[in-house]
Parts: sequence; C-alpha cells; structure tokens
Amino acid sequence: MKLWRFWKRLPAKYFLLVLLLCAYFKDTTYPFSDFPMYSRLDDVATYVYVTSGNDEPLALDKHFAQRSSNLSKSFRNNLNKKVKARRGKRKDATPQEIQDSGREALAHLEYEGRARRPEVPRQEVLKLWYVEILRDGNSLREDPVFAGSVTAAEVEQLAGKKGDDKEDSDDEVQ
Amino acid sequence: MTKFNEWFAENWQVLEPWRDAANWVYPLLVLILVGALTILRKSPRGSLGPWFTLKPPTRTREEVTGLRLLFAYVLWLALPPVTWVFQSGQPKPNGITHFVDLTFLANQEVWGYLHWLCLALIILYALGVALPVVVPLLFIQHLVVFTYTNSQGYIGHSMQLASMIVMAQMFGFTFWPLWMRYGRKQPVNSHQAAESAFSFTSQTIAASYVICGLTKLMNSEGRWIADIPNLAMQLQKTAKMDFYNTLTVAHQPLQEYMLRLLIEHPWQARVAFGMGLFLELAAIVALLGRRWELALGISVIVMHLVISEAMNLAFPFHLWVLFIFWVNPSFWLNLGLGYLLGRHPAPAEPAEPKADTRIISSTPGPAVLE
Repeated sequence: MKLWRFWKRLPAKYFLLVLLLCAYFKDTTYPFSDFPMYSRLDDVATYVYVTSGNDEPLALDKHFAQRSSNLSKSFRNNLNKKVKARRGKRKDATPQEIQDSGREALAHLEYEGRARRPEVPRQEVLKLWYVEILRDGNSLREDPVFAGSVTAAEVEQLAGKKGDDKEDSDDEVQ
Repeated sequence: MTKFNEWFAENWQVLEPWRDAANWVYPLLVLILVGALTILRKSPRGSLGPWFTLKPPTRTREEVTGLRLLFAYVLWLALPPVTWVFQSGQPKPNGITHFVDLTFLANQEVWGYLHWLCLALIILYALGVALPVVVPLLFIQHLVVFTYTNSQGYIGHSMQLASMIVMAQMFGFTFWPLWMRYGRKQPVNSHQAAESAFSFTSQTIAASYVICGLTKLMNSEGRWIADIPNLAMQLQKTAKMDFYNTLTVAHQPLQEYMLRLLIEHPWQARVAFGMGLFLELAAIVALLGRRWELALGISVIVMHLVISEAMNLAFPFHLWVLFIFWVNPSFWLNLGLGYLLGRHPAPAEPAEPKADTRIISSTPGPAVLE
C-alpha cells in the first residue's frame, strides 16, 4: 500500500517505466534498448571487409545490399558464440575459430546478397579479412588477419546451417 | 589564452594522475544540476516558477496537430519502401521472433500489400482519425518490421527510439483513456489523450538518452571518460567501414581533426567528448518543461550532427524526434504567431487537473508559454 502511494506521488512515471524496461531488456527485446554503442572504449577496435578470390575489395552496398557495420557485428557475434562455448575471450580466439566464424558470416552475406542484388554478377570465391586497429605511439596500426573464405557452392549449405541456429543474442558491445 | 594552450599542449601529462577522478566529473555535474533544480523548484514560486515545474505542459489543438503531422512524416520516412527486399530468415531471434515466425515479410507480394496498409495507417494518424485504434496498429507494424530486421545476427540502434515513441503514444491515445474511463471512472476527451500521448513521448526521449549515459558508465565500469582517447581507434574503424561500404574515399576534415585531437591532446578530447556523456545524463532535466526541452533538444541535435560528421554515424530518426518534440517548432511558431496577431493571452500557470471533472473542454487558440 505504501509502495502504491509512493508510486502515485512520483512525477514522470512513464520516464521511470521506460528507463527500467530499457535497463532490464537491454538489446534482447525490440523496441527496448540500453543503447550500448561505444559504451566501452577498448584499446583495440576491429572491423571486417570482403574481397574476391583475387583479393580485390568488394563494395558491400553494391554487391550485397549490406553495410560493413552489420557484417562486423554478425562476424563478432559468431566469434563470441564460439569462444564463449569454451569459456574463452574474443581476443584469445584461435585462427580456426576466426575462420569458421568468418565463413558463416560470409555465407549468410552472399546468400542474402543473391536475393537482394540479383543484378550483380556473383563471385566464385569470397574472402573475409578481420582487422584489428591498435595504438602505436602517436599513430594507429592495422593488423589484418585472414578470416576464412567460401566458394559459391558452399554458400547455401553454410547459410542453411546458420539459419537453423536459434541461440540467444549475445551482449555484444561496440 | 594562446600561451595557456601552448603550455597545456606540452604539459597535459600533469593531469594524468587525476585520470580516474576525471571519470566522475560529468556525472557529478549532472547530479549537482539536478540537485540545484530540485532545490530551486521548492523555492517560493515567483517569475522562475514555470522554469521548474514537473507538470506536463498543456497544449493547444494547433500544437497537437503540428506534432502529429510532423511525426507522421517521420513514420513515413521509417516505413521501408514497397520494393524493399527483407532478408529471408530470422537466424538470431530478438523479442517477439522467439515466439512468432515473421519470415512472411520476406515474401515481396505480402510486403507489397502490407506496405500500402501501413501507409494508410500513417495517413489516418496524420489526419487524427480513429487514433485509439490506428496507433496500436502502427506500433504492431513497428514491432513486426524492426524486430525482424534486428533478428538477422546484428542489432541496429537507429529505430528503437521512434518505435518506443509509437509505444508511448499507444499508451497515451489508447490505454490511458481506457484506464481513465473504466478504472478511474473519469473519462477524458481526445485532446487530453493527445496531451498525455505527447507527454509520454517527451518522457520516452529523456529516458532513452539517460539510459544511454548510464550504460556508458556501467559497461565501462566507470572509466568512460578516462578511456576517451581510445575513441581514436573507433573513429578510424568507422572511417574504414564507411570506405568498404562503397569503396569511395570521403574527405572529412572534422574526422581528421578529431583523430589528431584524440591522439595528441587526450585531456582536451576528454573535456570535449565528455560533454556528450553530460548531455545524455542531463536529458532528465527536459522533464522540467518546454524551455529545458528546447535547450536540450538543440544541444543534443548539435551533438548528433558532430558525431555524424566525425564518425559517419547518422541517427536521422533521433534528430527528427528531437526536433519535433523537444525543439517543438509547432509550439514556438504558434506562440510567435499568437504574439504577432495580438492573440496572445497573459502567461498562465499550468492548469492543475481537477479530480472531480469528468470531461474537460479542449484548449483551442494560440499557445501559452508555461
């Protein structure tokens, strides 16, 4: 009863309600979010890019109707899942884990790209590169790592395998 | 000042021992601000009174119509075009996709019909027709479409605020009047429902920025300000990601300047970028009325524009809702026109809702500054 009286006297109840819902659900339940973008500023930043079999970079928008940020998140989520399965950390990921995560992300990208950009000729081989940006004195250093490749024939199988995956979304922080 | 700048550029390291303490400067400033406003609010109400009221502002019919028309435009902008090709699965379920299969959106024929249905709902919303029914349907549309796009293995953060605003308006236009009618036995008219809907909207915007600031403090374990120089790597990352989207190099002088600032002058960067955290936490002050909404609305819009230029991170829907509901041109134009046409009544205190009033008449006419 006291709690109810306290609630009735509170101003801006809806503000508090939204604040609590966003804090509770974080990013797991749309439309709520705790907006975690750039909430943790680590000393290393990462991104990915895609090349053809000949190592020529491909424009993600033109080839796949996708953005680099989404591909990076997709790759990182796959990698997080793999390293969490062995209770490890992303920075300690093995080359095998990086390449398996990259292949899954690439297959999904190409599978959707075929539907969303049917007019663009498809590549026989796609490669993913994972880049870490580190501080080196008064400049920045980039260390690219090969993060797997897929052939046109492997796409459906790998993308289908990913489609069956129903794990919870992780608490990825940009 | 130039001498100080030169000295500071050479000797900024003297501040390094204070790095951890600096983390709490901006949150502390917000607490001091909120504390000061709380004390001032309890002071005898004189000319400062309207600056410190927590009561939702009363709105004229003109303002309500302006807000609705402008937000209808945002809803139209947020509606994926009829030719949009949705992705074919929901590999990483989010929210309702744990229970509902929304892959029907990937069927272009189905989306073709749904698009026109959604457009009809937006037009009805703009016209103010059947809002208690239309707004919940608009919320369902947002929930379905954007939960699906957020179930693709990555979460985007551009639409949540707009969707939460539709939810707030659903409470205001539909659930609150139902509760008043059947729970409290005090029916409210459509104008009062609109006032509550837009009050909930304003509170939603404030909550979304405050939670964003709190998340920074919690996820960084209180080290966000100290870690600001690490934004250099993030700036470089967003520049590179932007390049790989289109393979075109964009010349962005502000981005280059900020990169240099972060690397060469970390303390100046902490002061400058820390202001963003201050603004996010200080968004709670917008609950104090239109003047604070206007000041914070303009400040946060400037913050978004700087971020957009420096990091290629545009949040157009955030900019729109800040402009519509906090800068609130509908109100200020209405007020200005009222003055120009000599129709402006004397400033009035916000009306206290009367508990025993069953139906209160709406408030047509020029705006009143509260």
